[in-house]
Amino acid sequence: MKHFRFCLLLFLPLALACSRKAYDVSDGFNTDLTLFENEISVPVGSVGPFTLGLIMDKLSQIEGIGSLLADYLKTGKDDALYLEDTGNIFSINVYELEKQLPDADTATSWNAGNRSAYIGGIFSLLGFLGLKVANQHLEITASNPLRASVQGSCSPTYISQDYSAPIDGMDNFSLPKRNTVELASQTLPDHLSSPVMSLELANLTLSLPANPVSTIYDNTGNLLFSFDYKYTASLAIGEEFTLPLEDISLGDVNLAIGQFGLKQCQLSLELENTLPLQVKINDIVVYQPKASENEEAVVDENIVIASDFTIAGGSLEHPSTTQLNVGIEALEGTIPDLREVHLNLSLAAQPDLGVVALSTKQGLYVKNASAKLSGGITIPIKNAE
Amino acid sequence: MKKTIILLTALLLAVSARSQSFQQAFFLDGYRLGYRYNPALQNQDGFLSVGQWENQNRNNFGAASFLYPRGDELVTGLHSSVSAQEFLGNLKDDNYFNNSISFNLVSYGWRKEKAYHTLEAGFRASYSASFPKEIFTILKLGTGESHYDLGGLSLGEKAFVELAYGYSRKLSDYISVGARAKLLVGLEALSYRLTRLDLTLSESIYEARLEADLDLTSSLYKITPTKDGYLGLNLSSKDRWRLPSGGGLAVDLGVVATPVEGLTLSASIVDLGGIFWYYGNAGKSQGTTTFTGMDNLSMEEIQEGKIGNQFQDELDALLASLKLKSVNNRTLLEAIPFNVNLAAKYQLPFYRALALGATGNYVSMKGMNYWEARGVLAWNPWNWLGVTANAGSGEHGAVWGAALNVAFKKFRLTAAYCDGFGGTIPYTSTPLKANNKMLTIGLTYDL
Repeated sequence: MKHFRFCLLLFLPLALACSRKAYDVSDGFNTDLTLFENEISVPVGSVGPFTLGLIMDKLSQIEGIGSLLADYLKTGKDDALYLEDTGNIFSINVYELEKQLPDADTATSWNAGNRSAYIGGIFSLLGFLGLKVANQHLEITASNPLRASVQGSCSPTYISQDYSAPIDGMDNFSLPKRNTVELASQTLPDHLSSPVMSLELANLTLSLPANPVSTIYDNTGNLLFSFDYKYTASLAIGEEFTLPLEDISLGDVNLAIGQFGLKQCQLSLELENTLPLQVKINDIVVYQPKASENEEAVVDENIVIASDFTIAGGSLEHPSTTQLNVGIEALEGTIPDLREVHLNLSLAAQPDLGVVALSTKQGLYVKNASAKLSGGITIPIKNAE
Repeated sequence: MKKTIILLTALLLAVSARSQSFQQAFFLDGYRLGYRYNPALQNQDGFLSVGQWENQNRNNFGAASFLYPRGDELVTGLHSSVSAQEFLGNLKDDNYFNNSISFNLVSYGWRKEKAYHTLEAGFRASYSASFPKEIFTILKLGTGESHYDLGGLSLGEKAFVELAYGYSRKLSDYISVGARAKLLVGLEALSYRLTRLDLTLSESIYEARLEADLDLTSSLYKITPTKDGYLGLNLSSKDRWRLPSGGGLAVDLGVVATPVEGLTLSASIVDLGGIFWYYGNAGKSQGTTTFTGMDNLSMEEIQEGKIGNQFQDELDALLASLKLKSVNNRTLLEAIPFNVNLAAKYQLPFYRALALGATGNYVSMKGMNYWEARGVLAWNPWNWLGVTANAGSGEHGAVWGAALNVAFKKFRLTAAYCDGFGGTIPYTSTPLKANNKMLTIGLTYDL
C-alpha cells in the first residue's frame, strides 16, 4: 500500500501536465487578425500633379464635351490655354453681287452696309462664370475672287460686354486679284479682360470693275468675296471668379474597405496649387450603400469626414502650399464600403492675384502625404482547419 | 542516396536535442553513465553502453502565447478580442526554442584501483530559432513608437561527433575529482543571424537598415555562389563525403565530496569548450531600404490599379538587401553550451535506501541561458532498482521529473523524463507554456 501511494505521488505531475482541451486545434481556429490596434502611420508620398492639361485630355475623351473643347479651347506652344474662334463676317457670291449692281457695265462702288459677326457663342458665358480673357488678338482677312484688284473701305469695330473700339488699318484697303489677304491684325490692350463678343464692319464699301462676273477666271473656282475673322485669347481667371459646386457626386468611388474594420483614418498632406483658384471644401458626405437602384440614397450619418478647409490658390511662378488634414471616422462600429460620396465645394479666384492666364501646366500636386489609421485593421482570413 | 542521407539527417535534427545534463544521474545508484553529469562520479565496476538517447526541448514561450480560447473557439493573439497587454505580456523580449539530442553510440568504463576510466563516442545535434517580441508589437499595436530594433532574429543548427575520455580518482574516502576531455568533430552547422534590423516606421518614412550573416558548414552539401557572387538556394550535394567540417575541444570537470556519512555533495562544469568551424559557405547581406511613399503617382496608375507596382519596386529593393553576398574563407569559433551543476544528496540514516536531495543547474547558451533548482526524492532499495522523483522551479516556471533504473541480470535499463506543468495542445506534444522537457533512455551492460 505504501508503494502504491508513492507511485500515485510520482505520477500526479503527469496528470497535471496533460493536454488542455481548450487548445484543441484539430477542428481549426479563428484566424481573423486585427492589426495595428493603436495606430499605424504610412507614408503615401506624392500623387499627381493633376494638371489642367491632364483634365482636358480626360474631358476630350468624353463625347460632346470633347468636341466642344476641341472647337474652342486650344493649347499653345507655351502651354497656355487659349480660346480660338474663326468665322465669317460677310461673304457674297460674285453672281449675286452683280445682280445687286444698278449698272454692271460700268465700274462702280458697291456698299454692303454694316456687317457683323458674333464670336464664339460660349465665350459670352465666360463672363457669367467670372472667367476672363487675356492677350486677346484679332485678325481679319478678305478674299477677292476677281482677276482684278479691288479697293475697299470700312469702319471696323470690336465690341465686348464692357467696351467697343475701332480696329486699325481697314479704313482703306486693297484686295489683290484672286487672293486672300490679311486686312487687320490687332492685339487688344491688356486691360481688356472680357472677351470680344462681336465684330462689326460698318459701311463696308468695295470699288468693283465693270461686269465683275466676266473677270472671274471660271465658274468652278472661288466665287466669293469673303471677310473672315480669327479671334484668340488666353483663358484667365478673373478676380470675380466664383463657382459653387454643390452635391457633386464622385461617381467612380468604389472602395471596398468595409472588410478591414477601420475606425478612423487621418490623411495628412501638403497640397501644392498652381491654379489661381481658392478651393473651399464645405462638406463631404457618404451615402449608405443602396440595396437596389430604385432605393433612395440616404446619408450615412455615422461616417464623419472632417472636411471644412480651404485650399489657397497660386500660380506657376508662386505656387501655394496648403497643409491639409482630412479625417474620416465611424462614430460607431467601423467604416463601411464607400460606394457613393458627395461633396459640396466652391471655387473662387485667389484674392490679389488679378487676372491670371491659365496654363495646361497648372494644377494640384499632392506632396508629402501620409495616412494614419487608428483602431486597427481587420484582415479577414479563411479560418484554418 | 546522398539526398536520402540529407533528408534523414534533417528529420533527425527535426526531433532532436540536448544541452542540459541528466541531473537525476546523481541520485540513481545503478546508473552507470553518471560521469556525464559529474566526471568525478565513479562506478564500482566496468560497464558497456550502446545507444543511450537524450532528447531535450526548451522554449521560453509556448503555444498559449499565440492561441487564446474565447468562448467555444480558439483565436490568435492578433484577434481583436485579445488585448495587447495580454498578448504581448505572454511574449519575452527575445523568444526562442531549442531542441537538442545526444545519442551515445558507445560508452565503456573500467576501474583501475582508485581510478575510473571512461571512453565514449557519441553524436550530438541541436537546432534553435529565436525572434524578437518587437515583430508582434508592431503587428498588434502599430507604429506608435516609430523606431524598432528587430535584430536578434536567428536560426541555427549544429551537429557534431563527440569522442571523450574520462578519468576520475578518489583522493580520499571523502573526496573524488574527475575530468573528461572531449574531441569534437563538426559535421555540419547552419546559422542565420539577423544581426541588425533597425526599422523606422514614421508617417514620413519607412526605413529598414539590415545586416545579416549566414554560415553554413557541411560535409554533405554546399552552395555554389552565383556568377555575381551571391548565395542562392542552389543547394547541391558534394561529390564525396568529406570530414570534418569543424573541430574542437571541450572538458568536463567535477568534484564529489562526502563530508559526513550519508551526505554527498557534487559540483561539476560540463562542456566547457568550443568548435572551430571551417570548410563552409558563408554570406553577408546588408543594406538600407527606404520608402518615403509613392513617387508622383499618376492618375493613370490609380485608375489602372497600378498603385501596387511602386510597392512592388520597394519590396524588390528590400529583398535585394537580404541577398547574401558570398564571403570567402570565413571561420568561426563557437562555444558549445556549458552546464554548471550542483547537487546534494542525503541518505536517511534510518533507511539508507531513501535519500533526499537538491540540484541546481545553470546552462550557458548564447541568448538562451537557463537555470533551475529541484528538490529530489530518491529510492534505491535494491541493486536492481532505483527510482527518483523531483520537482522544482526554473527560469520557465515549475518543473517536475521522474527516473527509473532497473536491472535484469547484468543489463540495466534507465529511463528519465522531465517536464513542466503547462500542458500541451491535444493530440500533439506542442507545449502551451514556456517549458523545459527532457527524455533520457538507455541500456548498459555491467562487465
